[in-house]
Amino acid sequence: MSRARFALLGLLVAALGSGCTPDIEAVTVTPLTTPPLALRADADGIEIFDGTGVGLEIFAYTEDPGPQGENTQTCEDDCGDPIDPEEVDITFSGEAIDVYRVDDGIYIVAGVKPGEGTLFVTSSEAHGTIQIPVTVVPQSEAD
Amino acid sequence: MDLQVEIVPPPQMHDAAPCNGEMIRDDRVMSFSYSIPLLAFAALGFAGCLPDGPGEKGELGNDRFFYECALPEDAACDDEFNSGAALLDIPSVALGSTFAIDTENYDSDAFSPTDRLREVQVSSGAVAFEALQEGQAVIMSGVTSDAGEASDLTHIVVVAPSAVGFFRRGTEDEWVPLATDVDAQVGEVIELRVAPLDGGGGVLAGALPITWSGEPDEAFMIFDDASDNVIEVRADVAGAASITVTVGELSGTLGFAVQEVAQ
Repeated sequence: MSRARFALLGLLVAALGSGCTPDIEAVTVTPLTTPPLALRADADGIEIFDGTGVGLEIFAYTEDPGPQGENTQTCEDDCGDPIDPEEVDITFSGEAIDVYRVDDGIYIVAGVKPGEGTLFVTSSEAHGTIQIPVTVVPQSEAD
Repeated sequence: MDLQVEIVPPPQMHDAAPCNGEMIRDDRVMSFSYSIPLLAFAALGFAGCLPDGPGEKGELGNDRFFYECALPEDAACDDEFNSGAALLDIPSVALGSTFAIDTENYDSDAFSPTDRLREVQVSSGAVAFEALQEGQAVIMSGVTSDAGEASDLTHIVVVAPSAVGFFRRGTEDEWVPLATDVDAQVGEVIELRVAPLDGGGGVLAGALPITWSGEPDEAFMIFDDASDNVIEVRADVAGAASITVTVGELSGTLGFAVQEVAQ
């Protein structure tokens, strides 16, 4: 087999391999704790008051996890299997938040000071990144 | 046959606290007593349950948090400060005060990532917090900043004190609030306590700087450490007198009517 054919075969294998790696289609965000000044925490965004923290379960999916569509936390019994949480990475940006890993799929998001932040959900088992916006609201705005 | 198992020092409890028997916090030694029929249950315990016990359970259920007085001025531990005992529940603390939080997780100290609490080192060398802003403040256990990991979280409420409360030691060793002037006799020794109060009259925890002074100067002899929130005073001169206390940025005055001892 010629060198050109080897190269072509290599490209074909690479293309097929790439095609077998799915994309992250959605995430679910489920609050595990109730902050004393609770706002909102779901896959479309997290709002917490500054100075407070919330425990969250975050799962990533390669298929639409529920009947309500992507990027929601409405799936219940008929969710697809999430990506193994051990293979999911959560990183963040923004000085308004801190994020701490507690266990596979379980994180604490703390509002350091009023402002904005973003969670980035990636996985070694899937392509793509899903961003979850985080808004840290001043406690002075609490009722 | 019963098998007694002693484990010293305590096991690492980053991900799961054991279902144990007795926990002794002061010397940080945990003892576990299992009977053989309970070994299976104990094994389940190591899998992740957190038993009932002293301290306030964290919001994720992985750890327990303990309030500790960092300084003797703290009104939350007037009688217990020297014993080193920890409070079972986390109280509300006064704005500007210093306090300590400990956890079951021995890998690290309690940690707060917010601007609302500042870590300070008290004279004993222990790490404590200073409450900088009113409101809720998150405190976490098992935090490893380099790995970005934590075990659990809780919140503490910081309240701006609205008044200074005076108390007198009662006949059954309890603290009785003082709402009016104190009647005393010359030579009588009275044990007094002062504490920062919230708007509802509740005592706030946390150590604030405290000073005591008598008026006129010769009216009282103040015993013990006058920077503590509990002191003993002796009325030395008959007549009207007062004691003024500053607690942080607040002050309060307690009036005395001192009478000569009847012959």
